[in-house]
Amino acid sequence: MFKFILKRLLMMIPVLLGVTLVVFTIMFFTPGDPASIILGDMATEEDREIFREEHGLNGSFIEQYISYMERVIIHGDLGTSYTTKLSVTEEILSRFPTTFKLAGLSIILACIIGIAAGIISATRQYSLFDRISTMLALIGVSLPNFWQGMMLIIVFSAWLGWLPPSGFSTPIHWILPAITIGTSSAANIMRMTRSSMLEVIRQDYIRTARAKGQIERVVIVKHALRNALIPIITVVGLNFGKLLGGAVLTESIFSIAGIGKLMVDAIKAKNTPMVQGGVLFIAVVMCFINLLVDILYAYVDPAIRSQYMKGRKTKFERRIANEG
Amino acid sequence: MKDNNIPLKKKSQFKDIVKRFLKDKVAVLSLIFIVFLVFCALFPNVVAPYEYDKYDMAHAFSPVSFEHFFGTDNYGRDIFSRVVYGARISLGIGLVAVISSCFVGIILGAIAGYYSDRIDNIIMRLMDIMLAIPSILLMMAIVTALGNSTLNLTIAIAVSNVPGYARIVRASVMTEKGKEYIEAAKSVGSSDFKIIMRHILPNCMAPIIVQATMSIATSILSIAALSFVGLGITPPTPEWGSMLNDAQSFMRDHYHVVLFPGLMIMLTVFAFNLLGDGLRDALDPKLKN
Amino acid sequence: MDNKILDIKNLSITYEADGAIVKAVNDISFSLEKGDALGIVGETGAGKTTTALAIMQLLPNINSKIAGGEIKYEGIDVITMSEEKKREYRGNKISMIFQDPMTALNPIFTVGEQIAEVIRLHNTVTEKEASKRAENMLEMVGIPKNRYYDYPHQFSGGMKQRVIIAIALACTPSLLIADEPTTALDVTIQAQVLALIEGLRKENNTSLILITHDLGVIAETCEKAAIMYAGEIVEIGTTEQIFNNTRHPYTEGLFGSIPNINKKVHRLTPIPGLAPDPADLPDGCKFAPRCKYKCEECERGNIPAFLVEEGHFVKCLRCRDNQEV
Repeated sequence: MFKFILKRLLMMIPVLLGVTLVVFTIMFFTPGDPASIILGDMATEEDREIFREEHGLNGSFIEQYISYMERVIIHGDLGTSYTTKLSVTEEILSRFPTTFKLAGLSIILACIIGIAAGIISATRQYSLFDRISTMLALIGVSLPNFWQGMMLIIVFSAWLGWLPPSGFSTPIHWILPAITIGTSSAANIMRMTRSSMLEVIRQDYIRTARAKGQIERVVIVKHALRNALIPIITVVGLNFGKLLGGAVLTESIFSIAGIGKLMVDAIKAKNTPMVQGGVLFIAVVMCFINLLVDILYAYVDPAIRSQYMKGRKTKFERRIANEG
Repeated sequence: MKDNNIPLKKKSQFKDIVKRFLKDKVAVLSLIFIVFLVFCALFPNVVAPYEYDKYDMAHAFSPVSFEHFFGTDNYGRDIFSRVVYGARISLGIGLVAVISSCFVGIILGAIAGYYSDRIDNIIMRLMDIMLAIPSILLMMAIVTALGNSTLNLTIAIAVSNVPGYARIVRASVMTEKGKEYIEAAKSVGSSDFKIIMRHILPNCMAPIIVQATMSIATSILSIAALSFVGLGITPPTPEWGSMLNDAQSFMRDHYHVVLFPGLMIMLTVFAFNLLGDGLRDALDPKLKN
Repeated sequence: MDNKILDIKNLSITYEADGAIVKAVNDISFSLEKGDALGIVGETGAGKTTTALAIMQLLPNINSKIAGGEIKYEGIDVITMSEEKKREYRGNKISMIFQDPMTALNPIFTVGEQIAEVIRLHNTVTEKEASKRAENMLEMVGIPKNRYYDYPHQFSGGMKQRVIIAIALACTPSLLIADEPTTALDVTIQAQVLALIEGLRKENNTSLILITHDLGVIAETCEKAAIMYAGEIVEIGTTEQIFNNTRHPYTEGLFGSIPNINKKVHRLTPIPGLAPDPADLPDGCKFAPRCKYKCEECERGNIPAFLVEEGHFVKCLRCRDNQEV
């Protein structure tokens, strides 16, 4: 298992290098001179020259990229934000807990609702519940979440006055953003759970379990759900990654100071180091989530597990060793 | 889907598909709605009662009425008319972006799937890199880099759609590639290009068509999201997302300025998703759950 | 009467597919004595598996329905039982071995766990005891017990079928239904698996319903044989009666379709035509369109079963001189 994880970590490196190159290229060709944007109209040409020197903005594309990567890899330094003059790492780390909390809360809600609804839908295919929940899920996938956020604010803050429209300080502030962000994930998870469960329920081994005289509830949860879990885990992982990196619009609607809002502001201000660092950070997070998903696969599916760790002691051998 | 070279069979298959599709009432209904939207996009002046940029400050924020179906906005412009004109941008950009990304994605996916190993590895790692960047940020960065215009918005959306197609096409090419009829085609000396074009791709059409329909839906959401943050569309061009952006400051007092453009986005995306589901069931009944 | 373990009377089962109602099983009756083996032969789609699933009460309840008749196990009708009671029977008193061993085991549990599961369901034993008994079952079907913690994907098809047999027999059921247990296996493994089933069955005096395509297997293992065609039992009797006094043209056709090493024949005689579409069954005898003895009356009304000799029933008008049932 350790070897597998190490291999996967090594495989991340080219992807992350690629990400930096893509982002660097896009930012390099973004029009506008950061020196004049940041320093404003009052600055002299001399000031701007000093700024460029300081931030390594002179030299060719390749020179700039190499010097950037040098700093990142050797010094672990993502640079300094043009706008706040704070280090990019610091900025990201100060925003990350908020985004993580929001994404985590939403994904947990989405999993509970999505998986439960998906299972019920699959076990009662074509029932009224199934029809309604598949329609709701499709609507959930079709909702523009910034609009949903606005409508929630109108109804629950402006009209009913039950919940605060912005901020993220207390749990009561978390409700509306978490619903907004979690809806499409819940819908995605529900759709995947349903189709995966339908697939599994048709399998012969489910009939075997019933032929043993097993209770239907146990058949569904123990025998079917665990087999249906792989595509569900994949979707949950994808959605969690998406929430961590890109709750962009929802964060700005609810005025939540998270990574998403940070990135939008940075792109708009051509705050190159911030964009670079932010995207790199998000890509790393996504890679780790993918790794986690792969490890979970092994936990769920013994065939994948034995692929990961060849030449390990079997459970039986271990038991014999412990007993003797 | 197997005997594409026999024209007779193909024809009856097409009929079968149409028949199966017509049975699905929800899908047909969504197709009708989409046709109506296309009509709105092509001839907005026929459907819309007012010009989209007709200012009427005296009637700013009129509520829903017979004169203004969806009410008016802060400049007194008729929201219904603006929504109708907005279909142009959403459908137009959505369609162009999807077709172009489909084209590029099919080429990349077919090459990667057919030739495996080195080329496959290079292409797919490139796709992985693009997928590692959250698509909304990628699109925002591209639009900012290229400049704020409708064309660049289209490019950004197309680029971010490519990896999805490449993956799907690659997967289906790889399954088709191993089948006996490809062996047969190779054994009679068909060129790789001919094998891909004549034999493999036609058999991968079902997932591609479904993916295309679904990605029009997500593209429309992306267009709305980007123009909501002020990228891509310049006022006074009416676009559903940018209308919501304009409405943001008034939403607490005038719900109708927020409700209708958003509802329109939702219905359109919903219709494309339903259509995609219907097409999937009609094209490949085996996939139906 | 008391000796009957299973008694099926006038059982009919329908499926619903695309709005059409398909008669999968049509008014079949048969019974089975304790310790006996009944072979059911028929083409694919003749309703053999459906009958088996009905006895297990495992028909998919979304689209299938028992349209009439009764299935009595030791005198109690299983159709009208409570779901709870049905579960007590399944895997405990009546067990089933399925056709395809490759897919019948759950890929995410070890084979040992899967055997232990059925033991724990029907016996009040500790987890440890269940494991012990599952290990014994493994050895009984010829698998070393150190493979208890192996997963299905680490087994070959024949080995998986052995595991399935172990699951089916773990609670020493009094009735075992084996649905084409060897069809998916290599020829060399087939004999082994059959011998294993036979051996274990004899040990516990378990009754057996063996569904198969293979008449030879029936001759070897079964006391009784039933021939199914298009949802009906067209001929039923002791194996001897069926083999030595074949009466139904379809049964005749089945014998003509297999090579016989003792007779000098130049060519096999296949049955002409195809089995009828179960959604659109012909009136009268279902086999009439393919029958070389067909007369006009064959295509009308309901063909009754005739008793040609003690315990030997045939659904064919050629036997109408005999007593009608």
